[in-house]
Amino acid sequence: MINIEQARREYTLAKNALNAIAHSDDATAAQRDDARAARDELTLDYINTMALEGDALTQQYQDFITKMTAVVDQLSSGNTVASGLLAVQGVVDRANKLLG
Amino acid sequence: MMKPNEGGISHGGTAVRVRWQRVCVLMWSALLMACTSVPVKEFASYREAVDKARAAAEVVLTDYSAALAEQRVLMAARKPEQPKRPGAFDPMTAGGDGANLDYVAVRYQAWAIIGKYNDALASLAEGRSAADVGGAVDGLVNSLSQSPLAEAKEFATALAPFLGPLKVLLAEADKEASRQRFLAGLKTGLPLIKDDLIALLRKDSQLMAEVRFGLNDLQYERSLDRVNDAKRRFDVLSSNYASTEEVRQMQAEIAAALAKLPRDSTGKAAPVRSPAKSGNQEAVTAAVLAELESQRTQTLNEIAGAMRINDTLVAYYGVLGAYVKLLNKMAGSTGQLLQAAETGQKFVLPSDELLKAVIALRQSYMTYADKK
Repeated sequence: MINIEQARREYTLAKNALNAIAHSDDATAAQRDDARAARDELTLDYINTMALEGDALTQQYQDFITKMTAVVDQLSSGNTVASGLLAVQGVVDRANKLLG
Repeated sequence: MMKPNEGGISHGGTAVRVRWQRVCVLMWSALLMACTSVPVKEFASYREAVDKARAAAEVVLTDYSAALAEQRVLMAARKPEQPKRPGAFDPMTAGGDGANLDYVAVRYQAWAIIGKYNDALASLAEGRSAADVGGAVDGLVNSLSQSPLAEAKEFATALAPFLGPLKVLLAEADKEASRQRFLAGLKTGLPLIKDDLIALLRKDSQLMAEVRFGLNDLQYERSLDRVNDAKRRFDVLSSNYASTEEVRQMQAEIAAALAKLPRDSTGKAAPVRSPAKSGNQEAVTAAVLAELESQRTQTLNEIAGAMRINDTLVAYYGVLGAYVKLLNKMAGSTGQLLQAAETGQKFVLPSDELLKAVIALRQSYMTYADKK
């Protein structure tokens, strides 16, 4: 995973540099517009990068689900005394049919 | 001395009865020695924390799915990117199925599987009812008594006087087996929740914050552009005329409002152009004053708009902060339950802390919903 604090710092520094032009009286209107557009693109890149990092975590969630499903299956399928008695009864009933 | 055919049982049946008496005594002694204690309070506390955290997660996920929808619209509107040469090959990313998995759906599934896990544990903690076990014993004895084999029938008959205590013993043995499986289930599943899931949920909250920040920053910076444009119009107009008390008053109002704009995360003040200097001596007319007042109002409105956008982000961070506090409560009670399962240690569990965390989340979400 990327270092979010560092990514944020780099984004802020780059944005501030563009804003220095975007709000400068020394820049022409066209230069200010170009700087604003570049700043918006920078922000969209930042959003996209963070959203993709979230997507990468989705596979890890899936791995967790797979492991937990195995645990739940194990919990649900174990033998109990009652299920053991029922199993023996089943054997006796089948034997009774064969012998009767 | 026993009389022959007492109760219809043969002399061999007496030996069977004595053997069963010994078996019952042995089983009862073994059960008493092996009786496992289930951490009931810790389990209840853990379940409550998980349920509350899950409800909070669903609220946060619903809001974030709206953020992702907003992000997709923005990305779709972008100019097509210049094609790039591929970067470093990552086999983990290339081999995984991450890109095809639905972000929100998978996270809901993760919470759902914990719900199933907790339900399975609760069922084991409770164990089978005595009636269920008794019914199984009756069923087996009934089948044995209907067997064509004489030995089977005799066995069923010999068991008859001991059915009552035998059912009690077997019901207790069944509960003990369930308790053992419950504890084993805790030791297998809880580390996955504590170490894997909660870590993922915390990372998620950090990334959600950054995506929401980015979307908010896009609006915020554009609103600062409007602030600057409105202020430029005011400055250009006011610089054409001599400075009067009314104009200076308007400039002071704008400066005071600008001073309230938040600094960025590095501490830098909001990027706003410096006030214009008036070099002209031309007198301000009523019409010019009216126009300056209009420009001042527009500037102040744009500043208020920028502040509202910032307030929305601050409120969202409040929601995430309250959500992470709930995750911490869940982590704490998961750890306590695991420790109780492993060491038998008992915990004093403060009942109102979870409630406070839930209330804090609701309040912060109401604030956020009000502002967005």
